[in-house]
Formats: sequence, C-alpha cells, structure tokens
Amino acid sequence: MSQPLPSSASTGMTAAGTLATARGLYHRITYRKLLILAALSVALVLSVLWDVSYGPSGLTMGGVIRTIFFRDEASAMDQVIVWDIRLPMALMAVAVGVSLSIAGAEMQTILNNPLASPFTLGISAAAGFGAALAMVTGISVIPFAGIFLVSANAFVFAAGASFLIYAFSIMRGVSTESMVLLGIAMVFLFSSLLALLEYIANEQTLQQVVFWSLGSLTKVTWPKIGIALGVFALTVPFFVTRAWKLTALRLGDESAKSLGVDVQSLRLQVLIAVSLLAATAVAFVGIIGFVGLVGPHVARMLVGEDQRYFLPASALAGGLLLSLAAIVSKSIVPGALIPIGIITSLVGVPFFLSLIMLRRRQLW
Amino acid sequence: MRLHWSPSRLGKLRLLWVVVAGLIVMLAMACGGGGASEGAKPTPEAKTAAASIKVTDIVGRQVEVKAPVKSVILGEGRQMYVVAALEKEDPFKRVVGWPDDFRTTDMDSYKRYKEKFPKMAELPIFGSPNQGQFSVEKAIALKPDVVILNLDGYGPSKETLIPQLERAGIPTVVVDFRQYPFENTVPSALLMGKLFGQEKRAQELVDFYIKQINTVYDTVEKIEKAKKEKPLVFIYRAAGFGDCCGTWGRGNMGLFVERAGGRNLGSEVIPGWSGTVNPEKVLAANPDRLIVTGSNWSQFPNMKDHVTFGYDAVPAVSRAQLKAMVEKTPGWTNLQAYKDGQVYGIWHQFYNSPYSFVAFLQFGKWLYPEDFQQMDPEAIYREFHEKFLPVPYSGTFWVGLKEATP
Amino acid sequence: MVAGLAVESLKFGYNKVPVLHEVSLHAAPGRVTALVGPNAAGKSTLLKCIAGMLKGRGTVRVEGQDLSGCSREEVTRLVAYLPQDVIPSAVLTVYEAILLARQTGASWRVQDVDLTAVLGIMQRLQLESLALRYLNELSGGQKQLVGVAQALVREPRVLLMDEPTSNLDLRHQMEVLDFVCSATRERGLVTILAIHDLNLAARYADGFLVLSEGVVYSKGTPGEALTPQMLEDVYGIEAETWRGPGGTPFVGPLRALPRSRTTNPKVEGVAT
Repeated sequence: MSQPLPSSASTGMTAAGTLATARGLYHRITYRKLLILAALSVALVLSVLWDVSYGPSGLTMGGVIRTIFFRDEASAMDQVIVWDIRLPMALMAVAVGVSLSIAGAEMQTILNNPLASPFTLGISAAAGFGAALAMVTGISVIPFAGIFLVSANAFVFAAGASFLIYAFSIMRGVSTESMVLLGIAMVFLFSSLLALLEYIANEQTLQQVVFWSLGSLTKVTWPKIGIALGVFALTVPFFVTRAWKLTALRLGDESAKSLGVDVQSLRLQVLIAVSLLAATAVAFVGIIGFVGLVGPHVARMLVGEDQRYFLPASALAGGLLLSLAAIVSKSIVPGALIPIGIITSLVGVPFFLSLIMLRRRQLW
Repeated sequence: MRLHWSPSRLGKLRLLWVVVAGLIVMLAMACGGGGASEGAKPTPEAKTAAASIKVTDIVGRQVEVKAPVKSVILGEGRQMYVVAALEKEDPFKRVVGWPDDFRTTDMDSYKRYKEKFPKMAELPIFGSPNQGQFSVEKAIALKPDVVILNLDGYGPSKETLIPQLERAGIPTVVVDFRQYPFENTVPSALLMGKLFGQEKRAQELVDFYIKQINTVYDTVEKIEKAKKEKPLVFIYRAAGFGDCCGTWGRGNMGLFVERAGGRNLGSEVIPGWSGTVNPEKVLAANPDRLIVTGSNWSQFPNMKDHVTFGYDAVPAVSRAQLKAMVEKTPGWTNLQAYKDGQVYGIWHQFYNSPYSFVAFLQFGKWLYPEDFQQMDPEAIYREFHEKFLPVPYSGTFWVGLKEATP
Repeated sequence: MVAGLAVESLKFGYNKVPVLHEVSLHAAPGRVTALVGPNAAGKSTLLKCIAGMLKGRGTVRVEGQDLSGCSREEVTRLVAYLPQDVIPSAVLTVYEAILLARQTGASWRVQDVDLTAVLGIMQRLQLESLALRYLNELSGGQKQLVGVAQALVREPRVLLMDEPTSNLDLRHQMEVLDFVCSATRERGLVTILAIHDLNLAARYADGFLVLSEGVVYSKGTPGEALTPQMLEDVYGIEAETWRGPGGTPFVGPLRALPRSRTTNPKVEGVAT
C-alpha cells in the first residue's frame, strides 16, 4: 500500500492514461474494502448456521437443514425446536447486533466521541427502567400492550429519553459535549430509578428484572423479529442517503459546514433515527452492552470511516459479534442459557482495554 | 457511469477458499453430532393408551392432558413436597427433569431423599422459569406429558415458554403453594393428584390438611369471641440472606399470623405480599413475638450465618443459631420479645408446600399458648410423615429461644 | 456579468452583538487578496458569510450571480472555504478525504470525472505518495495541503482560506502559498486569504483588504495598504515599513503603543 504512484507529469500520460491510473487507484482502495465486507458476510452466515444447529436437544445439522427446507416432513418436536426456538433466537441475535452496531456507529460519528453507544446516551438505561416498571408494577404506558407490555414500555421510555436529549439540544444548542453530558445524566437518572424499582420488587419479580437487565434472547417471537426488521428497513435508507454528509462530519464541524453540510440539522435527524434503532433493539432483548461500542470500532479498524463501507461493516461486525455471543451463551453450560449481556461485556471489556492500549496506531 | 470492479483471479480464489473452508468445518461439526445432547433420557414410548382428560389449573386455564402422566417436568424442584406425598412409593417414577432448588434450599430433605432414591441425583437440571432460564428445547427433547409450573413462574412464561411447549404438543399446568396458600393449596394438590392418577391419595392429603387448618380456625374463633388482645408478630423472612429485615406482608406466612389471630407487622408496612421493612420500624413497634425462618442453606455460596432446620437439624444447635441471629441483629436484644423469651425459629420451606398447615398450627401455639395447649404439631407432623411421606420424620423444624418451648 | 466576487453592505452579528458593519468589497478573478486585521476584527466571520456558512444581511455575488438565491449545494460548488486549525481525527486516507470533498449528493456512485480530479489535484500538490496514508499519520504541513486539496478539488470559482499557514514552518508556508497563487492565476480563481503574517501576505498577495472592528479600513495594493499609520490605527503598534528588492513592501514592528491610542477613528464616524 505504500508504493509511490507514478506521476502523470513525469510520464507524460494522455488523458485516457490518466483516467486509467485514476480508476486503478480507486479500485485499489475499494477492492480491499469490498473483500472485507464479503468476508464479514460469509462469516455472519456461517455463524448463524452454527447457532441454529447448536442446542441441547441432540438435533443434528442435517436434521436442522431438513426441518428448515422440508418443514412438513419433520416431527412436531423438531419443528418447534428449529422454527420456534433456534431460528428466532439466531435471527434476533443478528437483528439486534446489527441495530445496536449501526446505532453506535452513527452515535460515534455525530458526537465525535469514540465512547458513544446506545448506553452513552442513556437509551438502554431508559429502556431498562421501562421494562422493570412493567414487570414490577404492571404499569403500562401504552394501553392494550398485552404480551408486548414489557417491550412496549421499554421502547416508550427509550424513545422518551432520546426525545429529552433532542429537546434539550434544540433549546441549548447542539454541541457534542452537551449531548454526551446529558446522556450521562440520563444514564444516572434511569439507573437510579431502576434501582428503586428493584428495591420495592418482591423476590420473584426481582429475579425477572435482573435477568432482563442482563440481556436475554429467550423472549423472541416471530412478530418481534418482524418489527425489528421493519424498523431497520425504515432507518437504513436514511443513513444510506446521508453517507457522504456523515463522513464529512468526521472532518470537524467547520470543515463539514464548509462542504455544505447542515451540521445541526444532520445531528438531530441522526439522533432520532439512532434512537429508534437502539430503542427497538433494547426493547426486545434487554440490555446488551458493548456491541454498540465494539462493532463500530472493529469496522473502523477494518475499512476506515468512509460511511459507504463503514456502515455495512459496522452492521456486519455487530451482527457477527452478537451471533457468536449467542453461541457462547448456549454452550458454556450445556442446557443453560447464560444471559447474553454478560457474554458481550466479558468479551467487550478486554477488547476495550486493548483499544486504549494500542494508541500507537491511532484508531480514532 | 458504472463503477468497474475487476478483482484479480488470486483474490477470487482466496475468497472461495474461505467459503469452502467454512463449509468443511460446518460439515465436520454436523457429522460429529452438531449440538451437544446433555442427559437426555430416552423416553419409552407410551405403552398403555392414557386417556386424555381436561383439567382446570389454578389460573383458570383449561388444559388437555394425557393422564395419568407417564413423564413430567417439574417447574420448581420443591414441587417434590407434593409429589412425594402423592406417590410415596416412588416419587421419582414419573419425573424426568426439574430445577435444582430442592437441593439448594433444603439440603436436609435432599439428602434423605437421595439415600432412598439415588437416581434422583441424575435427573436433568433445568433453570428457573421465573428468570427465563428454563431451556424449552431441552424440555421438548425429553418428551414429557406435562410441565407443571408454579404461579410465580407463570407470568414470565406466558409469552414464549408456554406457547412453545404447546406447539410441540406439551401441555403446561399451573399450580400454587406459595403465593396464596390458603386458597390454592387444596385445588393444586387435587389437580396434581388427577395428573398423577392418584386422586384417592390427593383427597386423603387434602382432608388431612383441611382438618388441621380447621382446628386452628375453630380455636381462633373462640379467642376472637373472647376479645383477647392480639399479639404483634414480626417474621424475619429468610434470615441470613442479606441484612434485616425481609418479611411477608399480606401473603403467605404473614397470612398465617393473621389467621392464627395475630397481627402481622409486615402487613401494616408492606404493600405487596413480600418485601423489606426498615429495621428501625421493627424496633419502634416492639413486637410481642419474633419469628425467624431458616433452612439448610449451606449450598448457597457466600451464605452468611442462618438458622438451620430440617431432618438433620439438632434443637440445641438451631437454638444457638437463633440466639446468635438475634444478637447479630442491631437492637433486637433490647426488644421485649427477646427479654420475655418470645423468640422462635421455624423451617422456611413450610411456606411453599402442602405441609404449611404445620407452621400454621405452630404459630397458633406461639401466639396463644394456653388456648392451643392441647395441640401437638410435632406429633401431627410425625403422623403426616408416616401416612404420606417416603422418608421418616426426624430432626427439628422449629425451635424457641427458651429450652422448654410450648 | 461582473466577473469575480462582489460583496455589498454585508452586515452580521451574533445575538445582537454586531461583528461586521456594512462591509463591501470587490475581488477580480485571477488575483489573490490578503485579508488582514487584528484578532476579532471579523476576518473569519467575513469569510464564512461569503461562503454562506453564516447568514448575514447584504449581497454576495459570484460572477454576477446572487448567492442568496442559490441552494447550499450550488454555493459549495462555487465557493470553497478552508477553515482554520483543521485537525481531523477521522480514520480516512488522504485519497478518501479529498474524494469526500467532491461528493455532495446522496448517490454512492463515484464518477470518473471525480476520480480524475482527485488524482489531478494530488499530483499538483505532490500528495500522490501519501494517497493511502491515514490522516492522523500526517504532519501539520501535510494536513494543511490536504485541506487545500479538498478546497480545490471541487473546482470552485472563489477560494477563501482562513489562516492557511499559521501552523506551518517557513518552507511549507511558502510552498502552500506558491501553489495557491499559481492555481489562482491558472484557473482564474478569486482568492481571499486571511493571514496574520503581514510580510508573507505582502509577498504573495496582489491586493490587501484591511479589516478593523468589523469595518473595512482600507483597500489597495500591498504598498498602499501597509503604512505606518494603518499599523498604528488598526494594530496599535509602532512600526516601520520599507521596500525590499523587487519592490515588495516589508513591515518591521518596533513596539506596542499604549492602549488609549488604539481606537479606530473611522469606526467612530460610522452609524451602526
């Protein structure tokens, strides 16, 4: 990558020759990134397949494939195991990993802060409080929530927290520092409220609350996956059309403005989209940490910050991370399910530390 | 203008190799058996055609079950208290899996039962449904005829656990001995009797239970007519699990106190059926009776000192532990109840079993010793063991601070 | 159609604090104008208003076209503004950073003409060898050159640079300014550079615009603008000026004057 390029001035190339050189240079850059994206995709697919074929029931890989493609020929038991338990969990792991990672990537972009993630802005904490409220008191913010009570509450509070930050930012001006500070305030606020709920809960509900706050894929149903994918489909085009503007943000507010980017407005719009993504993810599976932080950093290390590659790479890295974590959570103690949030934190922390240590090759 | 992309052949090959290598790995895993299968017992095919009956469970659900069930998964290990009473000869005949709480919360019982039924130790272990740790997949693989859930596990299971089992053709049934024991113990016991094909046994159990409960009610009625002053009671729930002062409100043992003619301090303070009270409140209220619950909780890591009760407990030891517990709790040595020796300890697991009537009886004795003088809960509990349970009565299940406890 | 940049009666203030008072100027294409003045004179504000980043009152015309009628995209294509002190921490290569400056739309596709432009500007600025290096691996001078490349790769008509040389050593300062001047002449750009270093400005600029407390103090050739009187009124220093070989004016500061003598007589007479 460090070969000097021939200067057209010195070789006196024609216009066509210059074009060829220009294209060649561009391809050198993009080819490598596309290769990485492809590799990540393949890894993700393999991980999902592995996730679906792993479980305590003795169902083999062959059995799984047969149940997926020839559903009617499989026994009722196999069908339930594959279609109602394993597939939803595997797919939701990917959906949540992707959502959280994209949310984290864009939060880091608009806040110019490598520590930004759905946690940093208090969205996860707010969702945690909402869910606990539903579990402990049965209070539902949305009537008729029914079996979606916990998720609906979680979502409403998460969205509410984002709205608070949004409103505050409009009143006080959108500086990255004020947004991050407000996010920290949110984290503390909702964490203490959550602790209050935990205090007044009786033993049984307390267990539920604690385990939800550790992240769990066990409450996944197909309608929930549908909703998660729907929200994803809604927000992704939003980011895609703003790819260049978001990349420009990373050059600094002044430079971005000089390139014609409406920095304030972009920041707020992205905040809304990101909140939607993160709130949905957290509403369904509880608080899962570090994916929103680690996924984007991995992507950045691999493909840099050109959003056209950074965004898909973040998504794939996040999905892959959570899919692998799901496999680990199933396999540490066979038959038991370690809450997935624990796994991501355990893996995330050493990674995080190594990020800080490796300051030489500055990755931010 | 289109974007051109012409990777080198070498690049293509490398990509292909990655994919192929991955697929080979996956195939190897598939041949090697894919997912781990842990302790899945091969279930025998149902030989006799069990009749399909419709039952109504404790939450009003109409469930169709093939009864008598050939294989069952218990939603809580301590459901064994009931199962043992119904199937004294071989309580584990039909049980194919259960959570581990029987071992962790009542080590004494676990040991006794293990002596007699060693294969119990090999049963597949499940996580708790309350915490979403119950592996539905594992349950499905065992092909049970029914899964019995506790009421407190019902809420968390409504969304995924119960429907998933249903789709696999496995019915769930909800019982309750913990949250509303006075209302639910009888129907739950009868329900389980039906499932196990032990209706006669269940009826006997229920009759015994009702008879004992009624004795207390009769006596309390007389007491209330005489308008005697009701003693104030504070129950220190699960002393040793954290600091003071967990208790019951208008639930479970709190209700035992109330219906035995006493006043439950917890009911006056806590909104729900269980919770924590400010230690200061206990001191300020200066209750007439202090009751501490305990069990053999040695299996819990980092368990602080507690009061042990169970088949292996020794009265002198439990008494000493009770004394230590009181002295450890700030301010309790100043309480009138302590000075009068009105401090008692009782087996915690009475709160979650059909044996709860024993605790109810004993509470009556502690509250109104003269009126309940004729009653002998220990003898009754012993009789219950002989009649219903596979293990003999032994050990200590309650104790008072004074040597000669009524 | 009037060629070049024409600014009429530009007024701007932050929260009712006025910064620019009726600034007017005209800059012809192919010429470099140095915008000088002390701190807080309003140089950056003026440049940002011209670039459309701040909304002031008054008119800005580029080649006769009123910029207030143009969309943000069009303005960015016509006017390029290079901010002060750019320290990007983005994980981007030099190539990507320059390519980024050409993208305005929502499309992900990159056109051939973009690729050629990027290659071209890199060659002109001799950045080719750094094309695949990451931004945070560059020295201050190299980063500045990247900034210049980003400004010019858009092929604007007006080039505004805010202190483009303040963090560079002498050699890099001269290289950058050499390049800016030759590019201005070759492409017929209107170039305005805000510069602290008066001697450097005098050496490279074709014209001077002296700004003081939001008002234009004087305009003219370097020789006309750099007078001891101006230095006393605007900068509050006592200095001598002389001509070097080739006629380039030089400024030699002598000492700072006591504060009471630094009021700008021109401002007092202006109605705000």
